[in-house]
Amino acid sequence: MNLTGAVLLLALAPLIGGPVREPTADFAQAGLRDAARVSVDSTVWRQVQFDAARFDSVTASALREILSSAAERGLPTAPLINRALEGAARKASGTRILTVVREYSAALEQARTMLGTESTVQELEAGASALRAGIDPMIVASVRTTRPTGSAYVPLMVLTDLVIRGVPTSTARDAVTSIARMPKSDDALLGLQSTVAKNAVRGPGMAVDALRRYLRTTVPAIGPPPAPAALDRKPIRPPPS
Amino acid sequence: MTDAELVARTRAGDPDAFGALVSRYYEACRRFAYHMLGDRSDAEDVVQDTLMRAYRAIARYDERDQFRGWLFRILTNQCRNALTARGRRTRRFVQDDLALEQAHAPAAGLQLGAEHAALARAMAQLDPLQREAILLKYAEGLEYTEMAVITGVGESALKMRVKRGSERLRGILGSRND
Amino acid sequence: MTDRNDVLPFDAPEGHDAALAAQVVAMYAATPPADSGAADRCARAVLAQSMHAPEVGTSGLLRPRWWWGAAAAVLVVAGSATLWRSPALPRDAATSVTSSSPQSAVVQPTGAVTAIDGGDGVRFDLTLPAAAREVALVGDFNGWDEKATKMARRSKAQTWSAEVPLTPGRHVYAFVIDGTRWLVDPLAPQVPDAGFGPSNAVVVEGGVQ
Repeated sequence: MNLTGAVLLLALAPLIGGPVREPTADFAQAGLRDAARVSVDSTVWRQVQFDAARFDSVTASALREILSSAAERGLPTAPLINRALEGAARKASGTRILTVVREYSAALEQARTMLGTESTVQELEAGASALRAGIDPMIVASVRTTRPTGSAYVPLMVLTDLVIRGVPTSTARDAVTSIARMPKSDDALLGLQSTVAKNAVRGPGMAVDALRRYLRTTVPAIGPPPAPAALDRKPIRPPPS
Repeated sequence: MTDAELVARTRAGDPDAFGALVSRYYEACRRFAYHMLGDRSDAEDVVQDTLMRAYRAIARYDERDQFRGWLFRILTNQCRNALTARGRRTRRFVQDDLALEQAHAPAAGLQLGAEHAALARAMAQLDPLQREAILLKYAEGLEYTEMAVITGVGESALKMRVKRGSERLRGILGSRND
Repeated sequence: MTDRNDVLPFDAPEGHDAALAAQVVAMYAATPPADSGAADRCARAVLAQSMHAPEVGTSGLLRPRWWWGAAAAVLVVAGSATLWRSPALPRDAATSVTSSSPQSAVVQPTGAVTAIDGGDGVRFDLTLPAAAREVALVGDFNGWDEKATKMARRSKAQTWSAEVPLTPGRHVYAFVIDGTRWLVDPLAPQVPDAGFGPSNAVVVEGGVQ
């Protein structure tokens, strides 16, 4: 299976004694470059380039253990390999790479619990990112309910981005779920992300203001109009048609 | 490292210094906001707003002031704003009883345990300004002079709020003990 | 009942109820704590939304900081679906000005991802505010290899482009300037920093929503 190929590649890492800091020409030529076709689930095939020369043997063997453990738990390994490769590319230490991959593996597993075992790899990755951004697992799960049959990764991506930009989590969750349950709403969700991103840099509170303006033009008001508060003298705005 | 040193570093652009300041005061802010607002999520949101405003205003912070007091001034303002907005807020979004979603956070008392639940529910019934004064005086243990700086209100008025708030709490709790 | 005056006609006696105070203290102490990462996440969120004027490195390039918030996710439609277009998206803006910090406005890189007409795949564009010798696109789709997808400088001086055959779905990416500095697109959807630094995510449409 694919894992055997990955294991072989990892085991053949030539560098011994320390994390790779600067992949030199020698290593690039001496190291193995191979394409490991990683089968993740029945619907998604990804081709992952794996350059074993980018890891020292200690890191490589630890990665092998993490990957095999993840595979045993039924988790996709391509995302974990990608994180390891990203770490190597960023010249991160072996320790840092292993920490990130382990945490990502745990996040993928938790995402699978929250999103369901039928979720695609991309949904799991988007869910894992949301969890790593500090979003409550129950909120991640609630995004799934907006897309019972469709894909949840766009709502999750947008939610993650909004929270990272400082939109309060409950506000972001309400906005994303209200749009996501509308049909064909990926465009609208990414429009929300774009609007918030552009306005977030203009000052505090601008992101949430932009979010609310966007929602008013995007989501039809549902339910009885609210009763005005005692001190609120503004006229009740009729719901947009 | 003192607060003043962390502030100076934050102004110089050191993100770790700001992170250290946040670590120092996050829990205290969150705890106050939690009891002011009675809602865990709202409290976290308000604390984040507070810290963001603090960050943006850090250039104007005077080192002779106590950082905690300065921060709490922003925090109490944000709590008041949140309570006012909560009173006006209308649900714009689809009401949906998602099985996995908390539609409304439970009253703070439920998360505190039975022995404190009665008091927490009583606090929720107080006028917000009385609740604020009681939390600052009893829970935070501040002197009235400090409270006056934080709230911008005179000490006499603050003492009156604590007195009346205490009496009201006694009234609510007393009737519950029947 | 609200007290508007801060001067009362009498000096109010302290209504200090010691027993009640003790109960309040106990209730306060019993507050369930936030989870351990909450403070850190909060600090990151604040810093992400308040971008410092970044320092300029010796070579004149902006140095990306781990807390540069802003990964932009651009919806790219590959294949038969139509191209989603935001009316406000600055496709040709060479610079965008932000002024969210106490300091003066800073100049940010701007990025865009567009579908390639008639073909499979997308084109990444990146406009830099300063000169660079080489720019590479890295991501999950090329194993984060800086040598795999070198971007080409377009006739517009500081705009770099690369075309990549991306499959439908979510892809994570970033840019590497001169082999050493990593950069994200400030307005594209962000992937949280897991310990390596921020990166962007892009969605290539083509499958079922």
